Amino acid sequence: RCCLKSVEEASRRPEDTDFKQQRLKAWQPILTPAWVIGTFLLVGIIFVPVGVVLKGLSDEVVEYKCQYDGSGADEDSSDCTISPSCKITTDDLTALSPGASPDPCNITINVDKKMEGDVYVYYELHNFYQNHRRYVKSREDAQLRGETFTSKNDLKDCLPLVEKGDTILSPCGLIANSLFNDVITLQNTEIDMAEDDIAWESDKDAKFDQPDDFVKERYTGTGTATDAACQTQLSSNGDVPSDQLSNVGSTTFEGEQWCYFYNNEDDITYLYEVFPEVINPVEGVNNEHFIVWMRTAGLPQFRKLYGRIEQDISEGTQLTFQITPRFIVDEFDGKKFLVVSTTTWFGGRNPFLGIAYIVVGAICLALALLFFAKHAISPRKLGDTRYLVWKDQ
Amino acid sequence: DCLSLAIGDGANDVAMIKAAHIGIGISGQEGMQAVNASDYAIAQFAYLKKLLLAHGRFNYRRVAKLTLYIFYKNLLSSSCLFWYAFSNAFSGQKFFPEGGIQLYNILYTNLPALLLGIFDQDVKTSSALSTPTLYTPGISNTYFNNKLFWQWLCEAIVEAAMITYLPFFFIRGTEANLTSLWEYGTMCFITVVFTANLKIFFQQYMWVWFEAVAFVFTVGSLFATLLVYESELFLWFDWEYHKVFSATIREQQFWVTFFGFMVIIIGREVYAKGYTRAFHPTPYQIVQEIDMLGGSKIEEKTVQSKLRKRAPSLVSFGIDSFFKQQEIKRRESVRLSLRHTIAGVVSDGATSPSMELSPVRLSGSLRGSMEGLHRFRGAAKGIIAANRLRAGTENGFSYSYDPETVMAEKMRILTGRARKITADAFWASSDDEGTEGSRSRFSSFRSLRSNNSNDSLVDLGGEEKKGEE
Repeated sequence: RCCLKSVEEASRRPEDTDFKQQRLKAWQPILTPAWVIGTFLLVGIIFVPVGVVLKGLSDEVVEYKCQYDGSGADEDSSDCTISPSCKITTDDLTALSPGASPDPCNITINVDKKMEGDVYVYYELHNFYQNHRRYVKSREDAQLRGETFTSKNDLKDCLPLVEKGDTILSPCGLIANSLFNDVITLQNTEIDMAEDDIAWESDKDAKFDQPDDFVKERYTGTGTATDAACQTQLSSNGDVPSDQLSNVGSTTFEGEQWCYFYNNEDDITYLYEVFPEVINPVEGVNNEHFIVWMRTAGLPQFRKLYGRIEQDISEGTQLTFQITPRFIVDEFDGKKFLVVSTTTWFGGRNPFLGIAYIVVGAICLALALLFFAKHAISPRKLGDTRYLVWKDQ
Repeated sequence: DCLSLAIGDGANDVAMIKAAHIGIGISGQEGMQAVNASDYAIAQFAYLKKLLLAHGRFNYRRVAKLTLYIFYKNLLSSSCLFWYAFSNAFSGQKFFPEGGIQLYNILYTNLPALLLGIFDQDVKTSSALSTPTLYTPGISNTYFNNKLFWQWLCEAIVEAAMITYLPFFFIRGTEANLTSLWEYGTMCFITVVFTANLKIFFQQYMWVWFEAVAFVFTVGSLFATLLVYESELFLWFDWEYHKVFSATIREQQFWVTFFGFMVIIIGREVYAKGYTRAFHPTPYQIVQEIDMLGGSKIEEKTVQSKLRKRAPSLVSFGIDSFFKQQEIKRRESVRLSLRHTIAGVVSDGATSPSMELSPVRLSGSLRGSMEGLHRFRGAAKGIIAANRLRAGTENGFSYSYDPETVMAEKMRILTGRARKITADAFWASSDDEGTEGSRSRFSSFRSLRSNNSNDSLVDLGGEEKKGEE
């Protein structure tokens, strides 16, 4: 009986390896008071100077923020002077005769501190929920990439905004058709505001493209281009179907004369037709303001890049921006701001981060000190067996 | 309210095994019926100790921690989306990358938790076996109860609120990039994954090399998968996320905010745990420290005897004495005369406890029959306490007939007669006295057992055998 048993035992005995007998070599850290105090001291020592540096960087930033629409817009601000009022309501827009623009207004900013390097111009909106689910969903990506859709049934994603009248919108959807269409120009003669390179490179390359059957060409004739001249030019190339030649148009773009053609103009309303004051037919959805707008913001208060001033602005300069307002905000209690700001290598004005770091660092130091004090006054011996008691929880 | 464990090896034990909460069958001499009906099968009765004190204890802790952690990490991620609803007009817009949400449980928070649930041990196996006090958390539901459950859930909800909203203050309106929907979400998502993974760090006490690798792999997979997800390969699936991840991780403000977050969330945990460990420690933490300092440095005898004085349970008296007597024997001095006396009393059954003592090694200045009587009485108390527990009136254990129970009955009668003797104060005195007392208690107990039954399991060794009649 004994020998049989031992043979059986031997064959069924589990292996005596570290893994199977749970004897693995391991690091077994224990959070002793030394570790706690040490870590918190270290964190405090690192965080407070970092916070000071961040606050300093933030204070270096020169930022001017002017509210020009929404409640509280016409109040006096030391930085900005707005004249006449930039406020606009829906009634103002409907009262306009077709083809006419609203009256522009001027915002003058007194620069009292030198602004270095690239100075960024933003527009900021409050209470506009670009992150609302139905809004974010309301787009058709394929159409934005250039695919042509002729039936509104294929554009279900864009609901509730797919058509205008009985024509399909291209691009459809709420995001595209709520484009911020205030036009902001810098009036100073010796300072230029560039409006290119404001969108993500990857967006421009991969996500946005004119319709596949879109045609554009520089005008090769003399003088100013006309629709008729462009029609002649494009018909000879063969890119345009002969029955659609009437849709060929001409325009000026970036100082040059261009001819363009959009297919199916009768059934499709294109972006340049919805927002003629912002979008030039030659660029269509490649307009950088449009691409910037299409990148939906995450919070109801957001800022979007509008332009960039690539030179220093000396102290005492008066920046004058002319704004032609069209974007209505008073219907949803929103606000519009114009923001002009420099940046450091760390970004724009953000005092909270610096202050937060200082506060967190200080709290960590205080906690470390508290722990140290308590440990010094009434320490517990490591491995003190008096605590090995049966405690009824 | 009580959990019962029944152990047996024969066919007659099958009913008992099935009726108990936990049935353990012993495979071997009496066949396999008990094993087939049992929840756990072991090969020898002796393995019960390891099953309970080591495997049972470790697994309770592992499963409890794993369960709570899984609730926590999922609630953390969903709560972020919930808190975000306050900013998106409650429209239900998600701001985490969709691919990230799908891979969260599969890849980003999976492996470390799994390894915690399989391998983690908070104390060494030998310490768990030799310190039965560590078994109490299981009995008192320390690792999984209502309070703890809600505590973890609240933690998840509060941390999610911080993760969703602190960036609003830290990053607001400055760098136009970071305020876009998917970047904001990516920031929060990365923070969520790191928070969830670092939480494991404070639940796990044993770090084997592959657990560290799993941790690094998990975090690395977050970056690797999202970088693939944002590329042209997945443009067809998630058009809006194109290049968002790389844009987010390129922003200095993100990393600064991220480290600030980690310090706030993890620091709170470190401080709470460090504080409770330093000033309100639980037994397993003590044992961990003992292990860490090198167990031999702290007298195991001290540990054992102190345990026995404070925790007169079946576990520390019965099973432990049953199996540990070899070590105890090595360290205790002999109480010859006392054993003689008690042996005489017990076998007699009727004499009053008047004893003559030969010189016994005592501490302090206590001498005389009075002390002997107190020791006897203390010994009796201890044995009766042990047997009361064994009899199951308090803890629900049940034993079949055994010599100890018989002896306990006799002792009960005797202490009834000895009740007239006062001076409890002597017994309830200093630590030294207590140690001596418990030692003598124990030796008298053993001698009683050995005298009444020829129990070969209790091997008294050379010295003590000399004193036997």
